[in-house]
Amino acid sequence: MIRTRLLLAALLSSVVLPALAQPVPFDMTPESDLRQTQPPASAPAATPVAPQPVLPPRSQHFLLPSGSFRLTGEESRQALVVYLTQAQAEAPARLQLSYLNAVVVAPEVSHLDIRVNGTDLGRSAIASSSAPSVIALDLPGGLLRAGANTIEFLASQRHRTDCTVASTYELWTQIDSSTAMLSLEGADLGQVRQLADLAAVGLDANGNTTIRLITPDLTQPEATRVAIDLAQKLALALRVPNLHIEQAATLSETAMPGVLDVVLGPSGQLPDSLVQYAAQAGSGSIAALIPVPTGANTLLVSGPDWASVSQATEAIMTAAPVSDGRPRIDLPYAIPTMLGGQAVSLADLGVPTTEFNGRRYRTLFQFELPPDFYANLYGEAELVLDAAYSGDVQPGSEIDIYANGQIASATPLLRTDGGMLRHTIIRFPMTNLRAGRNELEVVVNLNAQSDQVCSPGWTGEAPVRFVFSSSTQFRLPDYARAAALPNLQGLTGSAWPYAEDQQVPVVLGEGPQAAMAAMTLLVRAATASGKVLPVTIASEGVLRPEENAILIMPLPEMSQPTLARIGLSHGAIASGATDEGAVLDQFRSGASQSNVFNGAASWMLGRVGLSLDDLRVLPRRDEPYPVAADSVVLAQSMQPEGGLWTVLTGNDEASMLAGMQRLAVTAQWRQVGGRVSTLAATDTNVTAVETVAPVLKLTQPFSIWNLRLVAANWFSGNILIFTAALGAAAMLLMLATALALGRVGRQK
Amino acid sequence: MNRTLTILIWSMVSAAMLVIITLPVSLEVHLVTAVLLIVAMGVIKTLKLDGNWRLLLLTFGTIIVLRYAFWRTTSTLPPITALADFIPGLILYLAEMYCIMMLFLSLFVVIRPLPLRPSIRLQPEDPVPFVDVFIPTYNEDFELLAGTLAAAKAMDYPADRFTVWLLDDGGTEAKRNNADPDSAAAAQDRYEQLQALCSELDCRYLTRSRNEHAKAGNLNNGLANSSGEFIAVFDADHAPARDFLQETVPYFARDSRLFLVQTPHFFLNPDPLERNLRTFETMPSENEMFYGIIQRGLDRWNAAFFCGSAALLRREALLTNNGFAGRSITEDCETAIELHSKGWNSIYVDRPLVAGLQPATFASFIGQRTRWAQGMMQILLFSFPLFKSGLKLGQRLCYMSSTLFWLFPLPRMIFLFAPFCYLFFDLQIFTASGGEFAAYTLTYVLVNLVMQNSLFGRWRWPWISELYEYIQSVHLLGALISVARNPSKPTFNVTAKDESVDKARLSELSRPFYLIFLLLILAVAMTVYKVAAEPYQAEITIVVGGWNIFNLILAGCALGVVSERREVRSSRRVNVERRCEVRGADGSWIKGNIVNVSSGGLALQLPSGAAGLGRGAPTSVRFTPLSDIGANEMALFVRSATSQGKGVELGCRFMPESGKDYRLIADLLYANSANWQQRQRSRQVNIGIIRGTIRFLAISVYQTGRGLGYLLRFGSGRGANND
Repeated sequence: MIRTRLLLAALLSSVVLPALAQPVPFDMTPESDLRQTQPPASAPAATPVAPQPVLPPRSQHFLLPSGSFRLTGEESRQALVVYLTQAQAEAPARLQLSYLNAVVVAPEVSHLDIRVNGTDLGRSAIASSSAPSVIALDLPGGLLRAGANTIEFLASQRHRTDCTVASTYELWTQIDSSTAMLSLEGADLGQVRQLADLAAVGLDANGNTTIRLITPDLTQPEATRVAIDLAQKLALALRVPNLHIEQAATLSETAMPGVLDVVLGPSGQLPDSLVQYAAQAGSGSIAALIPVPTGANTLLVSGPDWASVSQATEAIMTAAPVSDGRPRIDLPYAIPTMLGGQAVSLADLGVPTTEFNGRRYRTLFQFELPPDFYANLYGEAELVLDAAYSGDVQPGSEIDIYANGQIASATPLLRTDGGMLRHTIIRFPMTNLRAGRNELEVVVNLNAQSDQVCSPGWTGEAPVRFVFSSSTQFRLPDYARAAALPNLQGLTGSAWPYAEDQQVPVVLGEGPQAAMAAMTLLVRAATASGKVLPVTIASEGVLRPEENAILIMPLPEMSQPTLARIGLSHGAIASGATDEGAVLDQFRSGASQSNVFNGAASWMLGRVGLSLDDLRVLPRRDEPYPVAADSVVLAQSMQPEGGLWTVLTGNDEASMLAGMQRLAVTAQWRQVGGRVSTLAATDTNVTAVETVAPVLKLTQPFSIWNLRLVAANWFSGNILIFTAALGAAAMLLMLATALALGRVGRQK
Repeated sequence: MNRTLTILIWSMVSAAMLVIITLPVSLEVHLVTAVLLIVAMGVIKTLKLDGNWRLLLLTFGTIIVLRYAFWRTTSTLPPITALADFIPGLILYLAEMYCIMMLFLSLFVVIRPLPLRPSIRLQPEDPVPFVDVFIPTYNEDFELLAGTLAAAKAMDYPADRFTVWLLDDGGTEAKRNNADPDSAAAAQDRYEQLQALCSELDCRYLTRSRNEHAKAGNLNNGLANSSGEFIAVFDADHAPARDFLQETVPYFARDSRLFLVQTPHFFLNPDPLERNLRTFETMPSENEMFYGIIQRGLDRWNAAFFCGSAALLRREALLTNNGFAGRSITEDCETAIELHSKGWNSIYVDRPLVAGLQPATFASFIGQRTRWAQGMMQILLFSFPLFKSGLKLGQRLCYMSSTLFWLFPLPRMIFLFAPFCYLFFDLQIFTASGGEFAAYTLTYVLVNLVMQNSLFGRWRWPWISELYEYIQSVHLLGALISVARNPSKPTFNVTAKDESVDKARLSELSRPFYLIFLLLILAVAMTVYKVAAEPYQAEITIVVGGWNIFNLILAGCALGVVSERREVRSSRRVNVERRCEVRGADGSWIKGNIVNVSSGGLALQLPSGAAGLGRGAPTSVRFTPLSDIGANEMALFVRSATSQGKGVELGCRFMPESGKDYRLIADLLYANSANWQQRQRSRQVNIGIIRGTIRFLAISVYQTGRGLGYLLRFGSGRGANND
C-alpha cells in the first residue's frame, strides 16, 4: 500500500516534469507573448488531480504504445487499445493526460475530443502552447469493459492567422506517454491473475512492455527453443507491437506497470523463491500467473521436464488467442487482408464521414496483403471516392494518395463550380504496397477562394467546403500471387514462409545474447504476422539447403560456406585495411560509366521514369553484401536447393542484440526489406538492399489467370525481355501468317 | 502441310500473341516496347524491305495497335456514373474501335495482294464467244455517247462476234409520253437522234417502256433482249480501250464458274479535290487506292466485286440471279455478293481498259458518293455479309470491309467534334494522364500512320485519306442516317459527270465547311484562353487543343476543295504519237505527227512549217486507224498555231459530223491502254510520311487562304442568290 502510494506520487510528478522540459516555442509573435501569461491559469487546472492524503489508492494504467503521440494537421485522429482485467474495468476510472500544442493553433476554434469505446467523453479546447496542460476526465461507470477498450483522440486544429495549405503543417498537439493514463481507484488493480488477461499487463511510462525472463540456462538448445517459443506466444497474448526481453536472475522487487516476470524452467530448476510450486510443477505442466509478495505480475511456466514445459506454453495461446476482437494495442482499427478482387468500404476500416472546412484533409487506413503479393511493378489499385466539394474550392486543389508514406497519385480537382465525386475512381500504382500491413493516406489539399482573403478567425469559421464520405471504397484488382525471393518483407510483414513451416531450424551463435536477439527477432515477426514461428534449434553443420532456416549469429562465428550461402561477406571489415588504390579504382570505374551516350540515354529514360538499369538484358547477380563494422544486418538468401535462409548478424553478440532491439521498433521494422537490411549504430534509418535477381516461387494452386498476372509483373521488371518476347512472338506470327498465306486464298 | 494445319498453327500462334499483348504490364514497359518496335518498323520501311519483312512490319504494328485497344478498353473509359462524361466518352471509344476494326479488316484484305496478272490475249485457235456490250445511258449527251459507242465498236474483236447495245433510259416510252410536253419532246428528240447515231455506228439501240429499277432494270432489259454468252458493261462515259475484250474474254475459258472479270476505272479528268487542289498530275487519284490495291487484295480472297462498268460478266451466272440485282442502289456490288454466295468466282485484272470521266463539281462528287454510301449501307442491312450463307470466310470479311468502310462519316465527325466536349463543355471523356497519352495514344497514331503508309503509300499519300473522308463526311452523315431510318428509301440518282466549271465559284455545298471551320477557330481561341486561364490543366488542354488544330488543318484544306476553280473539261489531254497527214491551205497533204488528243480536239506537229494554216483555218487530217473503220480522214478547225523552231504546232478542234468521225476520234483517244497505265504509274510513288506530311501542311495552308479568299469574293453573292 505504501509502495503503491509512493509510486503514485512519483508518477504524478512525472506528469509535470517532462512537460516542463518541453521547449518554449520561439515563435514570439505578439499573440504568443500574450500566451505567456497563461501558464498560471493552466497550472491550477492541473492541481485538482494532485494527490491528497485522503484519497483512496489508485493504480495507473499507461496508455500510449509509443513514447509520444502527436496529433498533426487540421483534423487528426489517433487511437489505441488498452486491455483491462475484469477488476480494472469495474473500478472507478479517470482518464488523464497532459498535452502541449503548437503556438499557432488557435485556441478558440481548436479542440480535442476523447472517445472511449465509441462514447464521447467531452471536448477540451486545445490551448496549451506555452506549457503542458492536464486533461482529466472521469469515466462513467460501465464504459470500460474487461478485455480490449478503444480510446480515440480526435484533434481539430486551426491556424490562428494563416489560411494556406502550407500552414496546416505547423499544427500539432503532443501527448507524452508518461502522462497519459487510466487512473483506476482501488488497490492492487495492476495485478493480472488469469492468462486470458495477460494483455492487461500493459505498458510502462515509455510505452514499452518488458518480460523479465528468469530461466536457468539459455545455452541449452531445448531451453532456448522453449524460451523463444514462449516469448512469441507471450508477445501475441500481450498484444503489443514489440516486446522487450531481459534476462533476469531474480524476481522483481516491486510491481511495475508493463513488466512481466516470466519464470521458465523444469520443476527442478525453479528459483528458490518459488520452491513452493516445485511440487505442482513436478507432477505436470503448469503455466499460470502466480501471486508473489511484491505484487509483481509473475508468470510461471514449468513442468517436470523441458518437454512438458514446452507443452505448458500452449495454454497461453489457448487462453489468449489472436482474434479480431483482440487487436494489437497500436492497431485499433480493422486491418482486413485484401485478396485480389476485393473491395472494402472505408467505414469498415474505421474512417468516419467528415465534413471539413479546413485546407488539408487527411485520413489514413490500413490493410494487409498476403506475403506472396506480387503486383508492385504493374498493377494499379483503386480508390472509389465518394466526396463533394463546394464552389469555394478552386482549381489547384488536389487529392493525393500516399502508399506507405510514398506519394502514389495526385488527382487535381478540375471543376470550378463545386462538384460531387460519386464513385470517382482514382487509380494509383501499387509500387509501394508490400506484403503484410500497408498504410494508405488520402490527403485532400483544398485551395479555397475565400481563404485568399483570410479575415481574422476565418480558419475556424469557414463554411464546410469538403465532405468525405466513408462509403468511399478501396478496391484491389485481381493481382499476381507469387513470392519473389529473397524478400525480407515477407518475414517482417507476415513471418512468411517460416510461420507456415512445420519446423524452422534456427542456428544460434554462442552465448545468451544470441538467444535474446533471436527472441527479439522472432517475437517481432510474430507480432507483425499474428503467428508463431515454430522453431527448432539446430547447429550450422546440420542445416540442409533445401530447407528454410534462420541463422542468428555474429559474423566471426559464421563458417565461410555459410557466409557464401547467405550472400554476405566480410568486405567492409577487410576494406578498412586495404589501400586507397581500390577506392580510387572504384571511383574511376564509377565515373567511366557516365559517358556522353549513357548520359543522354539516362536523361531520356529519366523523362519517362526509367533508368538504364531498367533496360538491362543480361541477368544480374546479387553480389555478396559486405557487412559494415558497426551494423546489425538482417539478410535473406534463396538457396539454389530451394531453402530460404534468413540471417541476423553483427560483428559481435552484444552489438547484434542491441541492433536487433533497435530494428524491432516499429518505425525501423517497417523499413526492413529487400535481401539485406542493415542498421548502423549511429543511424536511425534502415538501409535496404533490393534483390536484383529474385527467384520466383509460385505459391498458389496453378491457374492460368494468376500465371498471366505473374508474367505481367515479371515482364514489368524485365522490360527488354518483354520486348524480346513480343518480337519473337511477332516473328513466329509472321512466319505462321506467311505459311498460311501460301495456302489460303488465290496464289497467282 | 495441309491447309487446315497451317490455319491451326496460325490460330495458336495468334492466341499466344494475344496472351502476351494483353498482359497488363506497366506503362514504362509499353513505352519502351512501342518505341523499339516503331524503330524496327522504321528500319524495315527505310530499307524498303519486302515480302516477309513487310509482314513483320505489319505484325509489329498490329501489336502496338492491339495493345492500344486493350489499354483503351480497360483503362480509359469515364465512369458510367458520370453520364455526361460517359456517353460522349463511349461514343468516342466506339468510333476508335471502329477504326481499329477497319484497320484489321483492310489488313486482311491487302495482306498480300495478288500480283499483276500477265496479259493473256485471245489466241488464234481459241473459240471466240459472242459478247453483248451494254452501254446504259440516262441523260448523257449525244457527243459523249457517240464517243463511247465509237470506242466500243473499235474494240479488237471479230466484228461478227459482238454487238454494242445502247440501253437508253432517257428515251423510254414513259419519258416520251411525259405529261410535260417539253420533257416529252426532249425525250422524243433524244430517242430519234440516238437511234440514228446507233444505226450509223452499227450499234443496237434499245429502250423500254418504263424506268423501273433504274440501272439494274435497264441492264436486265438488255439481257432479256440479247443472247450473247458474255456481257460487257460500260457506263456511258467509259470508253473502252481497243484491247478490252482481248484482255478479259480469255479468263472465262479457264474457269467455268467465273462470273466476272472486273477492270479498273481510269479517269481522264480530275475529281473536284484534285482539280481544286491541283494535285491531279502529281498525286495518285483517290480511286487508284481502290483499284490499285484493294481490288487486288479482294481478288486474292475471290471477292473482287462488280463496279458497274468496265467489266465482263457471264450471262449464265447472271441468269441464276435473275439478272442484275436491283434491291439496293448499288446494283453492281449487290449482284457480285449474290453471285459469290452462289459459288461463282470473280477476278480482277489490274490494267486500265476504259477511260472515263468522273464528277467534276463537288456537288456531283458528293451526289455520287451519297449513292455509293447509301447503297453499301443497304447491302449491309439487307444481306449482312458476315452471316450471308454461301460465302467463304474470306469473302465475308472482304464484303464486311467493303461495306463497313462507308460508315467512315460517323467516326470522322466524332473525331471532329470530340475536342469540343472538353474545350467548350469541360467534359472529361478520355481518362488518361499525359504520360499514358504519350505512351499509348501517340505511339498508336504513329504506328497507324506507318502501317497505312506501308500498305497504301504508293496509292495514297499521308493525310489525304483523312481529307477525302472529311469532305465527304459532312454531307454523307445525313445520308447514312437516312438509310438507317428507312433502308429502302434511297433512290438511284444518276451522277452527272459531264459538267464543267465555267467560272470560279463556291460550291453550293460549301456552307457547312465554313461553319465548321469557324467553330474550329473558336475552339483554337478557347484553347489559348484555357491554357492561360487554367494553367493547372494546361497539359490536357494542349493535347486536346493539338487534336483540334489537326482538325483545323483538315478543315482548312477542305475549304480549298469546295472553292471550285474554273476549268474547261476538254482541256485534259492524252499524249499520243501517231503519224498523220494534214491538208494544207493549198489542199496538199503534209506529213506531221499527232502529239496529243483530248475529247474536243488534238495537237499536231508539222516539222516543216504551217503550210499556210493559221488560226481559224478549216482543214482535215488523215491517219491510219488501228481498226477497220472504213474511213481515215476527218475535218478539223485550227484554234492556234505556235511555232517551234522550224516547225509549228497546231491546236485543232474536231468537227465531227458523222459516226465515222467519232470512230476516228475514239481510235486516237482510246487506242492504246498502255498509255493510261503509264500515266498512272508515274503518279504512284510513295513519298513517305515526313514528306507527305510537310506537303499536306503546305497544301492546307495555301488552300485555307484560297478558301477564305473565295468566301470573300463569292460568299456574299452566293448569299444574295440564296435569299
